[in-house]
Amino acid sequence: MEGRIINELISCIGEEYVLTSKEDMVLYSYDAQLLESLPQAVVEPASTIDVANIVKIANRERIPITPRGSSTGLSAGAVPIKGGIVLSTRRMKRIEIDEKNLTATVEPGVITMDLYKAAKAKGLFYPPDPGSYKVSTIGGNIATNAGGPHAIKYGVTRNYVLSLEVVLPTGEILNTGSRTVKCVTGYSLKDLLIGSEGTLGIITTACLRLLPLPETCYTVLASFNNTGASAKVVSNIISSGLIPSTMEYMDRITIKAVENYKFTGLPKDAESVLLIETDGNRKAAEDEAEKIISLCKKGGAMVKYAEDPDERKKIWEGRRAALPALINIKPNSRPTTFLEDATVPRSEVHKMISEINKISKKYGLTIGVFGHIGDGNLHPTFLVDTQNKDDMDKVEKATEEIFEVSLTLGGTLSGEHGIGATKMKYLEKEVGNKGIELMKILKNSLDPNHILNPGKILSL
Amino acid sequence: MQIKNAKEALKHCMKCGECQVVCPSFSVTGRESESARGKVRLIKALLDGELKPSKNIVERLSTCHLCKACSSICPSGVSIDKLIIAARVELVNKLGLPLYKKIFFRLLEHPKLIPLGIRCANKFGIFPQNLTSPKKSLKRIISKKVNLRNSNQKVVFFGGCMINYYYPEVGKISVDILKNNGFNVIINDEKCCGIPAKFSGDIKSATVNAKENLKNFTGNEIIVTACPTCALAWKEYPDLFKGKLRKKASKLASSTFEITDFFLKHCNKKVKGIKNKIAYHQPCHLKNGLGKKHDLEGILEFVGEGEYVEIEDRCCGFGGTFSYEHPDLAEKINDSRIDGINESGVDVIVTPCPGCKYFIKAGLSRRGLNKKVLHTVELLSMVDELEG
Repeated sequence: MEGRIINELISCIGEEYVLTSKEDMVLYSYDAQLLESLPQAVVEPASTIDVANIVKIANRERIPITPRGSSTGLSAGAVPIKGGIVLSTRRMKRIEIDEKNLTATVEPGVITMDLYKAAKAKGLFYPPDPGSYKVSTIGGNIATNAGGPHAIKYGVTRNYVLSLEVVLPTGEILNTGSRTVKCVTGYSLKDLLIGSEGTLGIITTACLRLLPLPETCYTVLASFNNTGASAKVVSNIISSGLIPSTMEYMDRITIKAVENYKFTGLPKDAESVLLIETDGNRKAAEDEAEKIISLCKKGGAMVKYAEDPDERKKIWEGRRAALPALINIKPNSRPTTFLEDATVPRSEVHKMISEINKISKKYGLTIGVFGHIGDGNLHPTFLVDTQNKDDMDKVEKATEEIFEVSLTLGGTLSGEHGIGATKMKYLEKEVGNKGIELMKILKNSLDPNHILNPGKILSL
Repeated sequence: MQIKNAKEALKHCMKCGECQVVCPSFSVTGRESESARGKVRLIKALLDGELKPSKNIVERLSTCHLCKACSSICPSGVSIDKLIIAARVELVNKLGLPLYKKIFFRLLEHPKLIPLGIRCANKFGIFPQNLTSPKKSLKRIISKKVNLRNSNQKVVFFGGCMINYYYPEVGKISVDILKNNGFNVIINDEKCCGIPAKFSGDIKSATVNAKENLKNFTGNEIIVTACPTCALAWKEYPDLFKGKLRKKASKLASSTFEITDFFLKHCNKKVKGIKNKIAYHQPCHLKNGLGKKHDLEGILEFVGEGEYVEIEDRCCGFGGTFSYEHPDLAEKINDSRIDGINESGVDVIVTPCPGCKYFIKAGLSRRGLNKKVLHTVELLSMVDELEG
């Protein structure tokens, strides 16, 4: 990047906050998947005006600019595929809780867990809980419309965004949505920006909806000696009008891996396990938990349950260990995981599981399946050696088949990880020609110079 | 770990970033260069030849004080601290050590030079309180008469630099309590445990000290130390050697104890005494390095009526040479520790680490807060006194 541009960036935000060393470029070249790419500069703005000024320079000079929170994504969303500038939101960390309106006004660099804690301190609750919530930022969560185990009852990030302040690709500042509970003024531009993966605007402030903190939470662990039984119980629970706050699933490969990884007290001979929670006021949560326990028992499950936070934590340890355990399943090879997030309507989950097992056999690949069964979002996880080209080819083919199955069952390519750079080539299969065409029109009209996060979602 | 073995370990990092949750340095800056994930990625770049050894890498790797919190929670089980040490060793081999570190580590290798070093440090007021001259250091101030109830097993009390030169009274109390519980306590000649040099990548100097320290032991002793970092050094001595020395080091490593742990296992429990509001500060090297998680409730079995106030685990920010290399970073980490203590409303903080004691005290006085910071053994000795 030309020295005069670097100097101009420095004059905007100060020398300390413009990084250009080769070492720092390596540090901003990755997220939590394999694809990497180096930027030429990293900027750390402190305010909306800073962001706007930086974007204006980038737009004038036609330099790509990739917004970045904590870079925990799984689809290369924050990886600067086309080089240019990485814009880190680390200095924008303000949180304001409004107890009268049950809202939080936050800057994009706020860590999701910090918002959760700040809300909790005032007896309030911010439900969206992506797997990386301890590390991820709210800006990243909104830009990817992140979801997590709570989605089954509480929905995803989108359901909590009331309004946004955004810097558009031309450097102009847009306020969209309203702090009010209701708002129907014109097209919902905020909803276009949520999940746009930093390709249409950079979120600089968000007003989020909060809920009262549930009084208590029950955790139920149900283990089954066959896979079909657990899927049936899931569907029975949902169709009987019960809404657990989370409903997680682990298959035999995952359970075994967890048990070998560290002892967590999961039933060893189980073919599948469900981890179900209910929350709310004590009586309602208890009542729901009881009904769920009886449905599980009817379905042939062995059941354990807990309300005590320490005991609940112990039960959760097994589920939390799922991914690391799968990674460590082959300690002597070079295991790498490919975690997918194809999502299907909840009634189709059992079909999805059996199709994944078929694909696993067909290609001779080990695929552990766990995930948010309550919302149809499973994580088939391939265990392969990235150095092995044959295996990698198989993974690609198997992934494609999993996507096909998911779409055939009325599902989607990605429930929560996003398209980014890694799933671009599959997008058209789901949204069709027209979908792609409209998306391109939107992108071109908002970002005529393709400044913001180029190389993501759409190939232009 | 040697750098050539690092490649394999690096492959297990899935760049999830969970390490950022527990990293004290990252919590201050929020920059990728401070996070363990970032450092691991830099080390990979160094090994792959993507980056060459440079001052920039040295600087970025230096913002870690090896508290081991990341290694203890890494979902993939990557020993990040060992990777960082291996990389620092490699960088020292290629680029050398800064002069002040060279002088400092040579000094620690040659105890005869230490009096001179201490005179200089005191003259220039480097520490808030004067360092003790070795003449008054632990070995000389403890009484040599021992009470031989369990005389068949020798317990060697290993003071370490912080206790020998800065808090000799903590060493004296430790030895007294051990003796009162019937142990045959000995003080050997000793050198710095070698951790400061090792953490800075000067593995040669660390090995020299370890070798000298091992010389003073037969291999059959029990080692007790009131410094978790020294205990960690002893636990990791086997990694430095091969053959016979490694065997001896391993034997001693398995009989090295941090003093609180030793008390909880082997000493008579005396109850009642303290009535203060007390918080317990967990030293990083005890929790993440030795895998021991005491809480004060365990220790309160000794002290009875004290009101135990739980405080969140946070690093004190000391990290030995780290706090001299990165005073701003260390102070900000420390601020967060002091905030936690202040909010808890306690009047006494207890910790089994002389380094934590030193840095928490420094933080309290910087903030004008009047609270006592005691080493665990000091708390226990107060109980003894009260019981008369």
